[in-house]
Amino acid sequence: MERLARSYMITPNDATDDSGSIVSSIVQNIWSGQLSLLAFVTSLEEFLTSEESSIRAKGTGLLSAVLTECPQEQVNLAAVNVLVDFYCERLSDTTCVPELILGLVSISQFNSFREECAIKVSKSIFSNLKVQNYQQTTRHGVFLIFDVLLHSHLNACKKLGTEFVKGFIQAMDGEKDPRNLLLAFSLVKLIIKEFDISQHVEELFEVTFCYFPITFRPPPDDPYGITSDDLKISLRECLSETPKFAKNAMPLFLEKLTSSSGNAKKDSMETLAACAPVYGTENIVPYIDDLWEYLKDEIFNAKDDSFEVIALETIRSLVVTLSAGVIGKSDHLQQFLKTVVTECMENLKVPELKLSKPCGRILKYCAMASDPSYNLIILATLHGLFDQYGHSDLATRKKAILEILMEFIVAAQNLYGTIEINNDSQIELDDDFSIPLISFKKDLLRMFSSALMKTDEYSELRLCGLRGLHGMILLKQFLSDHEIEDILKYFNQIILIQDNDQDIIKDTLKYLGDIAHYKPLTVLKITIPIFISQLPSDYESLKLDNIHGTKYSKVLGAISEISIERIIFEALVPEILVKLDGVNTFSSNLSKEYIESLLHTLHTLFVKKSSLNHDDISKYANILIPHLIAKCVGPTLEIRKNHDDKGEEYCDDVFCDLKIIQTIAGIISIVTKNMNSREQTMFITQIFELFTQGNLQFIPFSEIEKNKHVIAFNPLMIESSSAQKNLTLLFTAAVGYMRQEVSCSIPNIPDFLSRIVNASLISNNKIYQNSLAQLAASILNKWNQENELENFIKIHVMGELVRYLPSHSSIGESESNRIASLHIFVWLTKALVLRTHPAGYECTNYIIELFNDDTLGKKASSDGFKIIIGDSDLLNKQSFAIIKILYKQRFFDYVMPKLVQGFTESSGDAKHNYLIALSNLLRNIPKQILMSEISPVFPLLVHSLSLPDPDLKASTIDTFYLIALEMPHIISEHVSTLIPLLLSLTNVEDGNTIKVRVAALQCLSVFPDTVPFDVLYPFKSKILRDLGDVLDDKKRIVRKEAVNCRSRWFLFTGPKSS
Amino acid sequence: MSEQVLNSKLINANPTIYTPSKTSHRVLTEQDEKEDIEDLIDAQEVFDLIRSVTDPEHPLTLEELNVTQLEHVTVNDKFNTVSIEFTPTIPHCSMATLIGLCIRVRLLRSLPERFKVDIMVRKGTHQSEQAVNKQLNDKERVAAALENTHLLEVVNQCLSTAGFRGEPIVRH
Repeated sequence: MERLARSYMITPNDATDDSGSIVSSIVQNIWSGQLSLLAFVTSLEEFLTSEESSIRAKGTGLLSAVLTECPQEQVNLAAVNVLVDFYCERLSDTTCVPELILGLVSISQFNSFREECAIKVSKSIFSNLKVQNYQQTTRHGVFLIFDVLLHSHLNACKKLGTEFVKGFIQAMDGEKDPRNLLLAFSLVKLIIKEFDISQHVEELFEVTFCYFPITFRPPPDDPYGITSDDLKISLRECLSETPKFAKNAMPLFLEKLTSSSGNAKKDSMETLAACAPVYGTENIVPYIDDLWEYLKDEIFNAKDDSFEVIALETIRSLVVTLSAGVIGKSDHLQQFLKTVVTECMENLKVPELKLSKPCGRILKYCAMASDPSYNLIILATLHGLFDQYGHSDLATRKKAILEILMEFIVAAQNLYGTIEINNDSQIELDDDFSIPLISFKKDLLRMFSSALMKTDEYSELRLCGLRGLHGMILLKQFLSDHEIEDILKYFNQIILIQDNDQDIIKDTLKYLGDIAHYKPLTVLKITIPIFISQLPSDYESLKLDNIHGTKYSKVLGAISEISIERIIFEALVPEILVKLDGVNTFSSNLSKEYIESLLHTLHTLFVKKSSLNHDDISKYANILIPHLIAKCVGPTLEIRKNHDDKGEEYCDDVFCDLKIIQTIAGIISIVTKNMNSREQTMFITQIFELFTQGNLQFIPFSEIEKNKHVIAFNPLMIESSSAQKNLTLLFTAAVGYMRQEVSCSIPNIPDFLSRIVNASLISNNKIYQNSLAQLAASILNKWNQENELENFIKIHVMGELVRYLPSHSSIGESESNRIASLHIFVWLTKALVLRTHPAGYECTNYIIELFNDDTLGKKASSDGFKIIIGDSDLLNKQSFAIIKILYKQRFFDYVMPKLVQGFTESSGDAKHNYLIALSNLLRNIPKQILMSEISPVFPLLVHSLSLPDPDLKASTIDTFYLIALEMPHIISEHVSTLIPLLLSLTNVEDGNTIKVRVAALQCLSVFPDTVPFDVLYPFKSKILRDLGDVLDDKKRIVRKEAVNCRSRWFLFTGPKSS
Repeated sequence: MSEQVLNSKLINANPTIYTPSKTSHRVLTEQDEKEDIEDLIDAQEVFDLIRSVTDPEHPLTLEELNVTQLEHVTVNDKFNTVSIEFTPTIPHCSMATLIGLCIRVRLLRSLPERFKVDIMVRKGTHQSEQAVNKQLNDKERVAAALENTHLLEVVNQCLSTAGFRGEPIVRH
């Protein structure tokens, strides 16, 4: 043991590793019971009592270090007492203090550390230590000890009372380190709360207020992790902890408010706002007039909105404070509000002037403070404002007055609350509680309604009317149901009948949608039936509607804004189906468009509901979806002798229209997605039976319809009609959104997949090809049988499918067949790449090899790479695809070197293809990946700017834009190449498209924001000169960018000399 | 009282604010994106250039103060002429020349050189109409004014919001 202690004593102070290992072996010994703490201390005696202070310090250091790691149970009550005595006694030994404090931090946390020890330690620190003479870590240790004492032994500390307060003040006085201050502030707060500080108010105030306002800024590398806000907030909590500070603090606040600027000013206002309610009326009143003058100016001349908001909040806090003392002393509140009201009303005399808005906001914040203040304010202002409104003919003035009234409505919502969501029960006005605004209800309703309903009026005034009515509906305990219904009737009138003002209609719908959220039943009663009745129910009324300018599209637009609430939507769906059936009899463009709009409305609503996670979506799988599928499938089962100009047979039924099928597919996807696994299993089984076996059982055909059916439903067969094949879109829409845990209800997946693949290869129908490719990709991606998957890839994908691709193919495939195979091959590759399956990279490699192919090269690099790495509608998170987090990174790492190499080694068109693939790749990977690998790609990017392909150029320029934002130093290295290149791309004569010109200008505009001035300065005059010509570009959108860019460069004047 | 003291530097401390009409924004059409169609420079385009210039006194735009209005901008692309009339907020506004200068500089920087640009105070809206007009349309005096670095800084400051083109301005 002694050997260990001795070797510790001779280790140099900076060899922390060595001394650390000695400490841990000692602790090991104590831990295992081989060595008792007492024996250890005894063995140190020689050093602890040494004449030489450095030896004493080092010995103490060892003891403290061991105690820090020592197991609790080895240190009993007696040991703690001995240790405390020893440590406290030693505190006068200044050389050892850092080590002693270190030990005390640990000792004070032992379970056996009792109340007496706490007292002893505190006393000893107070009498022996001049805390501020020591280094930061030691001071931090002292505050940590106080922290432990105050939290675990508060009663002991309280016994010391004033002595503790005084001692703490001394210890803290002069502290500068942010880490220590943060701790100290939290302790001050605790002391104020728990101790009688009356004898030391001033001192305590001084040691804390001296830091106000906080000016600390974290050093660049932020070693402490402490923000200026942390300090601000904890200091603010100290200052606002007791009214005893008020006397000292108030004059100083006033001084800081007027003298400081920027953040310090904000801090001052915020701290005042926090302190006022604590300091209380009597402390605020003497300063209230000065504060008002100051805060008012701050609001009238606010540098930016944040200053104004803080000043307003401060005024509110002052009014809250004055309101709290309102009983008996209400004259203070009254008096202050009188000053405020008088001054604001003076400014409101001509309400369209600049200061009226801030005045309105001041009144709002004062009113929002308390019930008495709200009462006082509205009693003092509303009559005047009403009068003014009555006597004014100027629309702008009326609007300004309504805006101020609106502030009072918002203030009331804030103070008294809003109605509850989904609350349709008859509002019972609570007699005990009424909001003051209620006595002005009639006037307000009249003013806002009439403003809204004047169709020929200034639209801003009408919008004010609308906002006011909406605000009043949401206000708690204000309007009766009857009144709300009347307002909704106004809205109906605006939307359906009288209005041509699109802004008003748009906003009315927006507010109506919001009201539907709060009061769905009222909207269902007043609004929905009227809207539905406006929609044509048969072909005759549709024709009539068409003559009157297809009103239905407006109505449907409105319906999709307001019908997402469950009960409204539920009532709407059957109504829409009725309309669908009503006009379905004639297949004309007119009915086609109408039906598409009806379905589109449903789709829009489903999308909105789904994004809000409504739980009522999946139930529409039972009636709505089969109904829609019946509409699509029915006609394809009948014999129709129609042939288009190419002699191809087609189906003339409305529901065979591609756009309509796609809309229905969209609806099916969303409903499927929102089903749980059980619901999906059932639904998917039916879908598979329908599409693979032609089982029509779950589709509600009527007997009459069934009698017309003479053709089997067999869309996967080669000989089936195009109309049936198009319906595979619905198949893909459902199966694509299958959850991973739901299995395809088919016996043999490999067979099924190869059946799909072959079907897609043989057909010329592009839609069919695409939907089958996506279907196969989706199944492949979610396939959870690794072995079967491997086998399938080996035999069918890499074995069979690949054979169709090469031009020297022995089978001698036609060009269209090769393109079709590539398409499905690419989708299967995507499915594998998403789940980072090794075969995915193998396939990708194959695609890259095709870049040299004359026919497929372009397709492989553009469409191919776009599909594989781009985001798709089908294989994504929403559709439950298996997507590994880093798949893009992995793909990038695999592909990038191959592209760079391929580019260098190839020539002609192939070179071009590599650049296109690269551009598709870069566009679709997270920018962090791009930025980490930019250097090898940079020359390729520069090269692609000289190719004629405009899309490639535009997307490359966008990449440069991103680099300029994220890694400007790379741009800095290449400015002399890049700037002339970009300037040449702004020129219309070189065949640069609008997109290229715009992108080049935007890219040039961003340089001054990130690239250093001295790097860019040499180019400034050339850029300004060249851009002068672009100002005369024949396209307006290009000119706009040129102006922006040139103006940015004009204002680019380097760092300010000041 | 204190309000007067504080605002003593402002010529017009409490000007009228106008809400820009929503319809005065150009909506992008299909035509705008067609490569071969030539879009002529028109009054709306020039108005868009100057409407969001900040007033030297207030954090408000010239449009919000009704200093500039679409109706008071005339453009003839074929004859290369632009004429702008602006309305000072009050007839004795000593900022009129500065406002005019800002408009002048903005258009110098943003319009093709081929245009001859006239900038005038709207008739009857300012006491020293003629003097202001003369200054604003004298090339040499404009150039001399911009030699003054302090003045140039003020102008640049006012122009820093011009790019918003009537959209709500986010100030920091």
